[in-house]
Amino acid sequence: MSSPSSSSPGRGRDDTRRRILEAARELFGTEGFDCTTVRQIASAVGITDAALYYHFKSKREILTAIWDLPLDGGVGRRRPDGAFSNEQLDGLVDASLDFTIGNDRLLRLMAREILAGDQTALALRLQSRAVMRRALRAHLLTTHEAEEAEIKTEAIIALLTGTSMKTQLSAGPSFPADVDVRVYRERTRRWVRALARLDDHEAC
Amino acid sequence: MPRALPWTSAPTGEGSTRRRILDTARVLFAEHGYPGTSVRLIARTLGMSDPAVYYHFPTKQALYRSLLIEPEYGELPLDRLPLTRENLVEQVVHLFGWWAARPEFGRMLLREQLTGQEASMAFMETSYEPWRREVERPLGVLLGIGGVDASEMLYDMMCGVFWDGILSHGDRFTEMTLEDAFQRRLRAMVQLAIPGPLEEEA
Repeated sequence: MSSPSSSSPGRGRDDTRRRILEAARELFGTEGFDCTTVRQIASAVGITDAALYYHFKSKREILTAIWDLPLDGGVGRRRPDGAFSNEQLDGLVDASLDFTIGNDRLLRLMAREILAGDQTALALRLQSRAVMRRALRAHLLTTHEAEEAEIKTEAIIALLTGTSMKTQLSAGPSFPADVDVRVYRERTRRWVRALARLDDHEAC
Repeated sequence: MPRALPWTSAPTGEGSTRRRILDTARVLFAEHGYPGTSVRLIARTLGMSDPAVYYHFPTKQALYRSLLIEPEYGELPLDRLPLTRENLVEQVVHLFGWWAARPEFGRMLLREQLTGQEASMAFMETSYEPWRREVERPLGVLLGIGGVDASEMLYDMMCGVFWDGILSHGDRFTEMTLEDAFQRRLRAMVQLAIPGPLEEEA
């Protein structure tokens, strides 16, 4: 991720901006928005406060820019392909876990900001969940009736939310480094398969 | 389907001063977080002096810890009904109801758990204890193969429902959980999460 500082002035400016956003996301996610100072962010980037203010007028403006950062991965582009199988289900679970792992700091920050009443953060969370929900429902509808697909979608979403948040919370800032991702992934796949009951369904 | 939902009755009784302090503090901690809530703010919100609050709780931390009570679930469906799959579903729904009635408690906890605050992290363990007793054991008996794995999965799913509810809807979540459609869906989800063949709806 870390790139050497660029020589061209235009790229240098973008690079500093990006580094500010990454440092702020890390600090906001671990220390919280309120407890993080502009000075902390500047010193994490290795620039002066004044240099930071050149890019962002306020701490709030940094947060707003963080919400605009693209998220890593997700299930967005997955489309159903034939009857929904356990292997495809695993694929969706993996995409969801990779999303949680890849965006840990941002998701943590998002939850904290939602609890502090930030409507933008809430809108973003709802949006990213809607993508997952749509993907799951579309896959389930290949073999299920509407109501059943709906219930299974909600159950799987709830399980993924609960299990990933609990893992994230228990590990604290050492997530995902101190989590055995292989065990976490295997367990989540197994649980979601049990909940989806795709094998039961084939008999019908 | 039982009409009387366990969490429609008011969770707290007549307010002693201690009770009022706790109720107000819970709301303020949920709104402003632990660092953002001072004893002064709590006292002022109640129209009391700081020493009056300190009389009941020596420190802010002591006050916060007093809020971390083990859930009191009251009389549970399986206390009076035979252990069947259907009654176990009711048991889980009943336990969930205790939490659904307390979104501000959930928000308070989650806020601090996200910061890794020690007392709130320890509470994650504490709150699993009654679940172990009231769900994991009967589940093990019902399945005949030890219910630890299924119980943990069910627990995580219910946590997900709760966390998602309070994050997406805040305190309005309680009201939503009382709607018929929510109740039906929740039961269907719990049914799915308990291993074994699903019961046909009558």
